[in-house]
Amino acid sequence: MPNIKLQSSDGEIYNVDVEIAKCSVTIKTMLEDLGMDEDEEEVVPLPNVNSAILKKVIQWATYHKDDPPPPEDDENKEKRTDDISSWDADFLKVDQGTLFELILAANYLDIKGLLDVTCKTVANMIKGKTPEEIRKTFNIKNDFSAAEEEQVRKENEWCEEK
Amino acid sequence: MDISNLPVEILEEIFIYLENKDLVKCTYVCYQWREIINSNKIWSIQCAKEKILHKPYLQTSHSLISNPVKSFRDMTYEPGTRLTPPCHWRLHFNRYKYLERNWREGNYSMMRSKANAKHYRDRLILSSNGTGFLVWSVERLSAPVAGILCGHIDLVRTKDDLVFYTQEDRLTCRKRCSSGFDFDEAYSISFGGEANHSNDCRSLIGRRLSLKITDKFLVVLDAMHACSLYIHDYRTGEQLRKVDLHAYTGRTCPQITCLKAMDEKVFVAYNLNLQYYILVYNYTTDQLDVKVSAPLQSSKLVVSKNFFGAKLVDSSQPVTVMDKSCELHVWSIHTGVVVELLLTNRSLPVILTSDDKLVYSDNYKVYVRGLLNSRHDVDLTIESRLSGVECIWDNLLVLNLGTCLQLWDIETGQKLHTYLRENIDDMWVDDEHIVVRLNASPWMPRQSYVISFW
Repeated sequence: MPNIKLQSSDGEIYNVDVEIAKCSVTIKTMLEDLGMDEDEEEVVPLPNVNSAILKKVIQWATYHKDDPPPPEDDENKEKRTDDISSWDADFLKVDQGTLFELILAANYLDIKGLLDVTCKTVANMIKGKTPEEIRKTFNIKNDFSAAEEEQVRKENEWCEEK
Repeated sequence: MDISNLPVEILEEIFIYLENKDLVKCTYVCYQWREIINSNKIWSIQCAKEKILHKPYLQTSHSLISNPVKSFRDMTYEPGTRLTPPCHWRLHFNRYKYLERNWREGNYSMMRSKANAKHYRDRLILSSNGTGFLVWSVERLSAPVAGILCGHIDLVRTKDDLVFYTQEDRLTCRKRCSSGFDFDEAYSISFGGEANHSNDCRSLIGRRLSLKITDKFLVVLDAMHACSLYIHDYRTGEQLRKVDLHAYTGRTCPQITCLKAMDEKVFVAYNLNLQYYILVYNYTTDQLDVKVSAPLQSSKLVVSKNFFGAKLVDSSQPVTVMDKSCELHVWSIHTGVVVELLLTNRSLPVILTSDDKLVYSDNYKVYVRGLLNSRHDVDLTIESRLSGVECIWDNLLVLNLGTCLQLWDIETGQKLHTYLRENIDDMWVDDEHIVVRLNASPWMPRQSYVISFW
């Protein structure tokens, strides 16, 4: 199998199977558009991904290399968050900073499967919590004025459970 | 690195995974989150989940404003506030929640009307007499809003702002004027002309034309004249297709017992050589989806998205009121396989709900069975025999017990409300109304009640 060299923002170079690297649509199009020859010893710079995150992304992509391509987004399909595989759940037992950086990397590299599973993980961290608990979890400051808070309460009046 | 570093599109992706109750909590978290969540993309997905995208009455708030119990206003946002006004689909969702809550909490108004209701749909009540029929609006019940003199009619129906009636082999459609309640003739179609006196073509329905109207088309079956399904555009009357049923039933004309239609599907039930058949014709593919048969007789059909059912009886057996002599069969629309077969009482009602739950009854019990998912199966104990049942919002049942109406929550199995202790004959239910026809008594002509939720 031909390999490709990926360079993280802090200069570390990873030698990766091309097929695995191509699960990133960004890298795949880059190889196709620029006609980069797979045999060439060229290095693909990824200035938005640091080495720790790139390592995680490669680890994820290697494990999922034989997955069928993710289905196209279907508006009608119910978005579930309880279908995260146990391997992914273990893989994502990381601190919040790493999780958010993985999301940004998945977004930049356009890896739908990784983006979906990381977003689901964040959604699961929100589910069932009160607003105050959510703020605490993510270290968010309540920046509403009293009048604004009252307005938000009014627009939610019919939708809240008693 | 924290969550505030994520771009708005990613936060939106995360919020799309949430259920509405969690989304509502998120709007309190901070200004940025409230603004991101206030998006048509997010709330149209929530509306789709609740199956309320195509409920246009939720777009008009006029009937909501007049609620004397709790006033509902669209939010007014003073200039100077940072908050953007709620988006279109958020308001749509709010109005739906408001309406559903009023069903649950028992906030309604009740009006009596002199209408002898024969049919109700889309806010119009139709009552017939020997000289034609009367149209009543649920918004103005004191007197009929229109009277249509057309002589004796066999069948009358309504859909959107149209009324349809059949007389012998003729179907007439009248359209409501935009300015008021005048109904002008839109089109009229004659099916078949003279009956061809083929003795084999008979109907058990008791009238010549059967008519069903779905969101896609109207379908007519003329039992006296050949065995064809006529499928027309219900707005213009233009014929879309004529389906020769002989292609599916064989050469002999069967005895049609029931016609139903839902979305793009037409269900025809018929008897032939002591066998009972149901065929499901799909307009989109112009083919039969499925054809099933059973060695018994029946007349009624119930249908849902994925299933159809019928009560089958051995007509040679005598009927007793309390017996369990009839077989209730439920088939899959896709495979024609029987998914439920149980013995039940011949005269008690059965329905399939829009989300594929089977509701049936025997004496003093109502059973709810999820055909796709048995998680919400529930048995309800009632005080008297069931005369009618309708399901609303996928989780509430309106029961007609003959002497009152009851509203039950089928997720919790709880009785929520009892309405109208009267001698009740028939009822029709939509998202905002329950229309009830009372039985006539020697000292009182037939009349109706309309229960309205806002």
